[in-house]
Amino acid sequence: MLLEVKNLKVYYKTTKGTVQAVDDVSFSLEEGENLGLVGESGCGKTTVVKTILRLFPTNIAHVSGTVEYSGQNILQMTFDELSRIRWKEISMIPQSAMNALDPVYTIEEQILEALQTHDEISYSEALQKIYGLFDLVGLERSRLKDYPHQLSGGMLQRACIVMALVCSPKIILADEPTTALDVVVQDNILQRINELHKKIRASMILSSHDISVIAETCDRVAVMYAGQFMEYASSRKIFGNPFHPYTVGLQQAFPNIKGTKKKLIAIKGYPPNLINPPRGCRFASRCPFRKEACVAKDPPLVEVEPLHLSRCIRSDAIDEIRRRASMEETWERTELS
Amino acid sequence: MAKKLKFFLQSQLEVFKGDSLGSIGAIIFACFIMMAIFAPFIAPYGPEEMIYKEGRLLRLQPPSWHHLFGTTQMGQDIFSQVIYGSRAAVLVGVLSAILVSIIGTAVGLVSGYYGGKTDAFLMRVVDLAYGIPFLPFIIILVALTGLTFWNVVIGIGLLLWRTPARVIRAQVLSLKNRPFVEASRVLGASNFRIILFQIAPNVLPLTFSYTALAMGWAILTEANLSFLGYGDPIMMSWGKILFRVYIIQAMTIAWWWVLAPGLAIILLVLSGFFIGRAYEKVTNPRLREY
Amino acid sequence: MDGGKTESATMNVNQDEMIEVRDLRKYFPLEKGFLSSLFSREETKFLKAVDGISFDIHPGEILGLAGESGCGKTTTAKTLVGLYAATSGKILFGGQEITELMVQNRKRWARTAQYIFQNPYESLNPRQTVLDAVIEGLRIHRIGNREERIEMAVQALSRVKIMPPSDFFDRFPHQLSGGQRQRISIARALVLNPKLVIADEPVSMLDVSIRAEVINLLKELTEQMHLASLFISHDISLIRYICDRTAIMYLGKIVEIGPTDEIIDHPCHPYTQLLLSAVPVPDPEAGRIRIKLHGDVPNPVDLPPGCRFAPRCERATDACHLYEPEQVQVGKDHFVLCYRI
Repeated sequence: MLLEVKNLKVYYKTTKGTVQAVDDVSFSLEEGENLGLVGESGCGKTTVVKTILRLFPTNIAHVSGTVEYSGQNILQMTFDELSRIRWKEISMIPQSAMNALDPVYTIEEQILEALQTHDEISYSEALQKIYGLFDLVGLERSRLKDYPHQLSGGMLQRACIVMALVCSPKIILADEPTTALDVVVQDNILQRINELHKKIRASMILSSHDISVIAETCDRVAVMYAGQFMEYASSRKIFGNPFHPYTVGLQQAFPNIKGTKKKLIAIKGYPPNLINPPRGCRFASRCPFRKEACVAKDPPLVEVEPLHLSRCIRSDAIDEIRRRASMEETWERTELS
Repeated sequence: MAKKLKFFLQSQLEVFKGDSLGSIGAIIFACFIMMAIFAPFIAPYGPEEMIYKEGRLLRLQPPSWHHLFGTTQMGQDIFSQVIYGSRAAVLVGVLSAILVSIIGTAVGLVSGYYGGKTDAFLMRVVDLAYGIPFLPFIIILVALTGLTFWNVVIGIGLLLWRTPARVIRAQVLSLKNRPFVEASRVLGASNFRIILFQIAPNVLPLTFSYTALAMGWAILTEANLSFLGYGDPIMMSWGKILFRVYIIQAMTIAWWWVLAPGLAIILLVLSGFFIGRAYEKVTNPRLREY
Repeated sequence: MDGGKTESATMNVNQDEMIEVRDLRKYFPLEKGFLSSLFSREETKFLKAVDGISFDIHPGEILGLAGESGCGKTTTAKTLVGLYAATSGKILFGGQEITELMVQNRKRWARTAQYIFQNPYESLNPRQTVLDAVIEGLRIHRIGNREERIEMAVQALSRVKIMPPSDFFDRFPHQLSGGQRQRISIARALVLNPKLVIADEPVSMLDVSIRAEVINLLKELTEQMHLASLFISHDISLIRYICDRTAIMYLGKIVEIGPTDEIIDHPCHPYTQLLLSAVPVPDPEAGRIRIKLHGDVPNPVDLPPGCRFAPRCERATDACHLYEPEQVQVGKDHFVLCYRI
């Protein structure tokens, strides 16, 4: 096991109170595996990703749990130990490449900085390595001498991918890597990511709100909602055999380019306030299948089939749930506006 | 309408809630306003009243229970002078601030929204205003037009609008392309309507911020002018108190005579700056602390 | 595009409220630096954001405008609503040419054409209450008195399923969710009873689970109110779901236009085929056939001669690089801008 996260909790301070952004999240990452974190805005996926590298904002209130990498807890490491891990072992592809790159330095200078901070490597060796990666992601070598503003969005994102790969890390964290890109460029990047995955045996944690992006790149998927995992299984199982009403609902809300045109169904309502999370299941207020028991107690993650976890106490009724979920009237039942 | 007013007042209170310095500033400012309004009731003596004790003039008395800030060379109670002096300060401060913010906001709005030649012209006027040295200008103006506090207010108003104009213009520039302004345009709103109802309300916190800051500067200016002898001869002012102690060269002897008006000036000007900062935090959320 | 006129004859719709766009162009002059405008004798360069497009929108129909960023779809939308003045070309409403009128008398055109913006977090004035925002249009056009306006606001908010409307009157945008804000933007647009509604990526900034709400609403409203709707999006899956007909734009031109199902099932233009093949599918089992892409998007200011897509097209011939293609009809109401079908 390359990375193991146990009972992670991350809370933020705000003027209105403490936001329980990530509440008891656990997962593991094997070598060569891609894990996808799927969820909408505010679900906590970006927080989880950043916590792995211990990138906290100034208003952090509470962090507990363990993030074990190679037997050591990242959250407890000294700054020196952490610096040795950052980028060299675990690197990140940020959401918006435009904002991640310094506008006053060339691409070359920035990638070299990343490389030479962590490795004793000569300029010519470094250049060869960078050229190799450029070819891999499909960037012209001449672009190395350009400044960020001279590159398009897609090129910038590819430059960020190179920067993330340049120290040959074991884990790459990608936080919504294609959200800001056009569909053709996105497709290109996704293709590259998949190709790279085959060539470089790095593992990846990819977060996105777009389930199709996750479906095409990840082996295992965790569906996040209101700071918790709602469902956690292999990609095939999540998409083919979903157990949690939220996962089922998400699939109903996604339009498909192929297949029969079905009615798009929205999940009415909105995510709960994480300053004062509701008791019981956090999805209950929007779930058409809720019962009394759902709001009475926090539901635990249970194994509904081998290697498939779901945070729902009604998994025994899953066939009925799936049947009813495809009908529009089911979702009308919950509160409006 | 009444509901809107209530909401407006509530939101002004919100500005100070999170900001301790701002609240202190607001309280100090309120105290001075009370002082100015109720001066005759608070002050134990008249501003120019010469006090005798046992037939002799109470000259240069250090602070005591009877005379909290001591007395002047002419036996005047400095505490009363400071209280009466708050009138000039508050009047000049508030009036100038209003004038400065009206002119500055108007110029900023028009310049930022219309752009082009109007903007270019107005910004050159601002450059001109920046080129004119502040205090000498007011001194000359007052010397030419007469030593009244109205002329001081006008003088301050004629120059200090330059800063809010620039800053508000910058904010208008960023606001005018926001989707909600475009939406108003799509609905058919005229430019005038857009400026008044869409842009101006969003520029208000900045206006208030600069009003408060301008007040600080105006009070300081008035004190400066009076100290230099160009103040209104009739009204008591803090600068005038300092002027008097200065011309008889008693500053090293009668420390109380200098301290009292000095403190008053510092407190009132600071309160203006604190209030200004509190409003600045509204426009720039990054300045907020959690 | 002549196809438009024959279409309307056969489609038996109320031609009085049809929008017709003919050869619309919008060019933006690029500013030269101070010295070059003094000394260089170079002609002013133009960004040809929209370069000769034609289409119709019938009442009760949703026309989709799809393409990637920079293709000109937002410019088209803003020109149609009067925010930009067309450089050349014609826009007709109900058979009447209104190209000049729509800019000269913006206010009057506002009664006919309205716009829904992409960003629900920025399209409402943070200092206006919901009621004020919704009746803004009524105030501008001096329609009705206070009670009548409130009544119209209630109607508009009910239509967008903000219930009960009066509960929301005094709320401010920051107290509402993204989906609610977007619905209020729609209510604001509808209160003037427009005939043409342009929705510019109305759900791309909303959470996935609530997009369906707004999308279904737009579809319903178009039918109920018999609106001519233009739906702009880069998300083809959404376009497939909601649009009756679709136009695919690339670098200022419409490369393919026709019934949505036709275009998705039988795309003819190489760019359409590329676009469709690039859409990810939420099914890990589905294998996608990807079309290989050559090169990057060319600089929109210095366009090469000939077909704009030629530099990246697999099927391009020499002719494609020299001459701009013409519209070819490939099916009923289905037109493609290409030589190499």
